Amino acid sequence: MAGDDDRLSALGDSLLRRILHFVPFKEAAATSVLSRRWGSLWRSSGAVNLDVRIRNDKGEHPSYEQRQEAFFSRRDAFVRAAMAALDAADAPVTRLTLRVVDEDPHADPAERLPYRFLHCTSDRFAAAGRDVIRDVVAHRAARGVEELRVAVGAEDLFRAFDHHEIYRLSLAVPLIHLRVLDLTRCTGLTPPPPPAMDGDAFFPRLETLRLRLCSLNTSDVQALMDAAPRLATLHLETVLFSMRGWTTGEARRVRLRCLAVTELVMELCGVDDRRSIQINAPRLRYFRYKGPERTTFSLTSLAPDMVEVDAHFVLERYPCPQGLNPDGKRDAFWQFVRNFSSARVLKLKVNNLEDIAVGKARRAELLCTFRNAVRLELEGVHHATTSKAAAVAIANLLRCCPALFDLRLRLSTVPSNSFKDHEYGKAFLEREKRMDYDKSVSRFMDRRRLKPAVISSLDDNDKLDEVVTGHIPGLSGHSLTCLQTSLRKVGLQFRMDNSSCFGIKLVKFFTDNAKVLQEICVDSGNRKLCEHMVITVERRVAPNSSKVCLKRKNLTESSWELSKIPRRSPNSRTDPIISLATSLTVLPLKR
Amino acid sequence: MEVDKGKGEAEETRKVAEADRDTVTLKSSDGKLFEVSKEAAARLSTVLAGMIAGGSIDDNGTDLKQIGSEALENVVDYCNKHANSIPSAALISSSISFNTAPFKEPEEWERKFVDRLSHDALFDLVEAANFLGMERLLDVTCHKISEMMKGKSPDQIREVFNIKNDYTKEELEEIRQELAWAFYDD
Repeated sequence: MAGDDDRLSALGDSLLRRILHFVPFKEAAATSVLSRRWGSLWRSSGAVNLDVRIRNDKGEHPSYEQRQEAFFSRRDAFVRAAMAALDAADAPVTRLTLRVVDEDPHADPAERLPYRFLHCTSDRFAAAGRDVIRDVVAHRAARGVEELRVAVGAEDLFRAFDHHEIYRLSLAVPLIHLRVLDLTRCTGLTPPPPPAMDGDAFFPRLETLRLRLCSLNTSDVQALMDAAPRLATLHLETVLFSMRGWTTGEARRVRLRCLAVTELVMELCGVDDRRSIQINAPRLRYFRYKGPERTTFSLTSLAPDMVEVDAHFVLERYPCPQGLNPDGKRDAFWQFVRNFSSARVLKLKVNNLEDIAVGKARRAELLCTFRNAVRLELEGVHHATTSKAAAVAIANLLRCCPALFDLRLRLSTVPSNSFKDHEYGKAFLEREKRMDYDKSVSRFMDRRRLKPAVISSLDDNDKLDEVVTGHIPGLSGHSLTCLQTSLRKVGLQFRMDNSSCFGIKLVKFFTDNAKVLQEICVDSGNRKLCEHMVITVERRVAPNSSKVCLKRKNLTESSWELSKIPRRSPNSRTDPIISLATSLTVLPLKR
Repeated sequence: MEVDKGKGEAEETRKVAEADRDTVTLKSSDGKLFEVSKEAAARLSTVLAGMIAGGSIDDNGTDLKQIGSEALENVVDYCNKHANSIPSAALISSSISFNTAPFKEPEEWERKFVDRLSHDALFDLVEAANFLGMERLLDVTCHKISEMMKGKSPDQIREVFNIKNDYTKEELEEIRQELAWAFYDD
């Protein structure tokens, strides 16, 4: 693999320490024997990454008792090694990770191996169990820990929740240097006591809390946040909130108070369909949401500093008959977005643009104004055959954003997202990898196959006439403030198909109606765009390019320049779609 | 005539573009030029940030004599990709600088970015990132190297990285005994 040189050992001490910072504890210590160069460097890497794989050897130990004994003696050996690693540290340990991987893909979850590994003793009847996590965290070398990560994983990370206890983390000891707490598959928190009056918080420096695949009690999560007055980043990824006292009506609501949080991510947080989530985060600036639209979400306080909201509504996992009707979906969408009326950037990914279109009758009731919104990204399915709903939805949002500067529309014909079951996670990832590969191969092949420019096709005159007039029912004819005064950049991405010219009509619409437009980028996904653009824009063809950028040469002239997307450097590997999103250089007109 | 006109326009456009350039040009040890987003360069590299702030950026290509063209291309590629894919959250919480920010797992594109590098290119990139004070890129590349060591025995690690064992047998045995806990199997 490598040449003759030892490039690794040639790096300076600080770089080697930086590498060792990420190496699991046993491999790190074992670097001592590599060569004299490595010596005791690992002791000062500032990290102890405790990785352990667990299994229950049925083959080796046929009897239950033997199996138990072997299991717990391996566990105790691990704990001794962990303590030795911490003892050996001669620099403060700032990063401490504990990662337990269940090796057996067919292990019966009811055996609760991770839980027994972390919390039990071989004596089944012992009243007080063990707490490996607590013992490790309480080690004096870990006193200054800044990043604490605990993860229990299976070979298949996405193995579904099995409702068995996996591990419990005790937060009853203050960690005053802690900045990052990252828990995967945690099923219980022993909360810190309520904050004392003198303001001594248990986690005074905690900035980032990430919970992934956890099933936790809402009040415990709240107690943790209350003990962390500087918590700025909160990521909740597939967190199942449970509640004590669940008979009362209140229990149907997940309420979280995170007063200092500026960045909040909520992805696929399992909340009962009928429940609602209420977040009190007055300092919120960035919010990313991914989930079904029927979860009612609300901010209970204004978030005046809101910068960006990025909402991705996924398809229902089980589209059930009593699911939301179209009106319900529409209401849920608008009620969701109106929480963020001060946002500057809106990124909205919906299943179907039809779902969000609001007719005249309900406009006053549902629409809101995003006074500060300068950028809007909208992505959703548009069916060529259906009515004008997509145009209405676009008009709705343009109306809501009177100061819009930059608009990106991405129209697709198939839903880009569906609810992915955990069990299918792995298969999905594999498929995605394969598709990425296929895509890049086909892209490469396409590039080689492309022939010089195609002469315009004028075979479908009716359709083209409509394109020339640029009339879009539902969108044309409205007076939209942003078109008159602010909209300067438009990006359109759509798939051309023969049944509709909606995308082309939008190009025409924006070039005609956006009075201060400076730049419009079009990505049609295939080559047909060139053929159509010949009609709408001076007879200029972007030779063999499916992506073109149009720039108004100057504001008095209405001529447009059509050119290939310039690439920054000929050998850059940047994806063309990505370079489309960056600023574009004006290419001179070729005469 | 018409050709000239086109040329003139091109010249003009170029000048306009340069007046408010949002890129900086970097020159590798072997004289190749690369353009990189100024914003991303300043955000990701403490050294480039210092040069931009101090005005020591040369429009004709700032000399980086310590970095070869292949490594510099990767650096520039990384910066430009970062400029495109950085979550806005990172932009808005600019109060936390990249230097003090806690480590975040490499993102998918960052993994792919380092995975495609050859052994030598990876080390060239580590050195370039170190020279330019690019903390995040250092984390991502060092993380990648750590993954190459993960789950391997010392012998395997020596083989992957070409490390020459300069201990005597007795010395090795001594260390192994001292660190016996690191050499047992789970």
